[in-house]
Amino acid sequence: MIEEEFVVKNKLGLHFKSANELVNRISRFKSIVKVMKDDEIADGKSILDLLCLCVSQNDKIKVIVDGEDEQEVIKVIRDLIEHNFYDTPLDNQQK
Amino acid sequence: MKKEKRLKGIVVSSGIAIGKVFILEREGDLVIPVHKIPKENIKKEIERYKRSLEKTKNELFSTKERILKSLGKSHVDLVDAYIKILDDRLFTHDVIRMIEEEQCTAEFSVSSALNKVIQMFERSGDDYFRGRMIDMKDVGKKLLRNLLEKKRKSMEKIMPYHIVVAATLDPHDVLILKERNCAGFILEMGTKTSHVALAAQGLGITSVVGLKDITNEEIEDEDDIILDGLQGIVILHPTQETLQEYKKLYEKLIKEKEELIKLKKLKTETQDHHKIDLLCNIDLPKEVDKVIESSAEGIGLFRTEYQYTDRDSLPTEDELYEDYNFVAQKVYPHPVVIRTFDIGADKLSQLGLEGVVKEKVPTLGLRGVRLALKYPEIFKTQIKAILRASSKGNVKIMFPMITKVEEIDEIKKIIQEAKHELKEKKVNFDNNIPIGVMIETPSAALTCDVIVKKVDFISLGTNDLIQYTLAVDRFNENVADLFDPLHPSVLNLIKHVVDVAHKKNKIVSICGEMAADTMFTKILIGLGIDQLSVPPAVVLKIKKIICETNYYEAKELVEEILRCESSDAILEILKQEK
Repeated sequence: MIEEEFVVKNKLGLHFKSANELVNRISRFKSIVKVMKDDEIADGKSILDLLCLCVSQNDKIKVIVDGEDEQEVIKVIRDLIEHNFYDTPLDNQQK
Repeated sequence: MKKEKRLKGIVVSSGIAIGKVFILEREGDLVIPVHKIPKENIKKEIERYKRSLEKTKNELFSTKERILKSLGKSHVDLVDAYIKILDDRLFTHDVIRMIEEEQCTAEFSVSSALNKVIQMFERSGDDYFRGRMIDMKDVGKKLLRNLLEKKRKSMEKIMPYHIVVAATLDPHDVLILKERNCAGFILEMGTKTSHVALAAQGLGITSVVGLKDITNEEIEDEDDIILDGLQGIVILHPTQETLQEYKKLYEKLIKEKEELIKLKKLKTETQDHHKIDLLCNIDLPKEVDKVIESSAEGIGLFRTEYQYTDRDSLPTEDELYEDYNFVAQKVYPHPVVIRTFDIGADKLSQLGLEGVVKEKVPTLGLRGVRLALKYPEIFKTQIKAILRASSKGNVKIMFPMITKVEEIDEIKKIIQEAKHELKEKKVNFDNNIPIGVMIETPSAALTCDVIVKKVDFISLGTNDLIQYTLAVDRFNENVADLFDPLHPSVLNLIKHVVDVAHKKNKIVSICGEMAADTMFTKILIGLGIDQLSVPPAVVLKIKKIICETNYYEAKELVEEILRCESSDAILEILKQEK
């Protein structure tokens, strides 16, 4: 089992597009993925669960991955969060 | 007689509508059956649920198709989100499990699952997640409606005098409302930036949203109702007095609109017949319709940055050409000035180019033609695409961020190469395509006597010119108030550029925000600017000022202003002007 803490940096937090990106990228793995904010736990493979955590910009989250491919999964998640879920916020597009 | 009642909501699309109520659906119309399902029927109940889920999804897919066709790609996000929500484990597993375990109706299971999610969103202080609550309610309702086999009232019965009242609508509904030509609509849910709101703005339908419980108010179909989209107020059961008051207001608005339309037909010239060209700035090809509608005489600045952002590979020549050709054909016979990309180095690294690093001070870094000349092949691709769109002779090409004259020589060399390559392929283009540059740095402004000899036209980019002259980043709130278009240094630079260019018989246009601010119009005319390029939405406002201005007086005003020692003194003069 791997546990790792992250700070979500992108402007809208873990919003629809970013949650969708996460679900799409980790669904194919066998590991169980839990995402925690404060005391609440969400299934990392459910978009609605993730949205219900209401993660805003600069919120801290803890990710717990458990399963045979956990190393790969945490790598994918780390990459996603580091790249702000590959999302371009609107205010960057305008300029 | 019922008493007049005023409710306050959120303005999304302004205007005034006086009409009759048409309630599309009341919030309480969906009654959830709560009886227990006998064990032997559970399987059937689950089948029924699955069919409804599938049906709802299919409906959403066909809605998506229709929206794509009529409103465009940017409006399908919401529908996509709805489909994703229905694909979530909550609907594919949890709801079914609850039907099995608790032997409840599918409707009950769906609505309790929905409520759980909605409650979570409600607790959030974040506007974004509150917005998602509305989406959940809407998608849930679509599913429940199918489960209950309830149809909404047919929209076919909506007449032009109707003001539609509903809990929610999707963008496609808004499209039907537009087709039915209804007077306006009122929704319980929604925010200023919700998808429905954007659709309403795009289609110009008067509307107010965020009126909680409006469908449960004491109103019936065909009751009188007033929709004041200017203030975001809805008036139920208005008194005769209120109706009269609003009829007057409505007529006044119509008159104002008519005056603006009359303005469209007028020539863009001062009282004493000094012609000013009024053109538009656009950021995206689809804005070209607004340009045509605004009565502008072409496009003075077509920014092409959008083609290089939000993607992970470089655009191809054909891709670029398609957009340029689309715009050029649409505005023909009017001209379009296409400006080559002015992006920062960081954007290129996103496009997958190696060796480009993020810069500490991008505004003073590798941007505009500096970047373009460092990557001549990318630059040439864009130039070729622009040339290909020029065969009808109404395309001009413009280059950003010139700081020294040698850059123009280098650019011209690349243009020659591009022309040569196109000729070899026997592609048609305008061999005499006018070439222009942006004057947006003090160095370019002060050496414009040399620059102007080498180009056909110049355009003042005042945003950057002011930023570089005053050393102020206007997005830095600590110094934003120092960003001052009336600073004597700025006005003198503009004056210098205009005088030098006119001596060489070259046209000077201005495309910065200064051109779009009515406060500066008279000054710019007095400074001798030949062409103003502004966003489509302000064309008529600026046109009105031009038509009301006397060129001779404007020149006198500028003479007086240029004698001032500070922008405060200039402001004082402008105040007296009014």
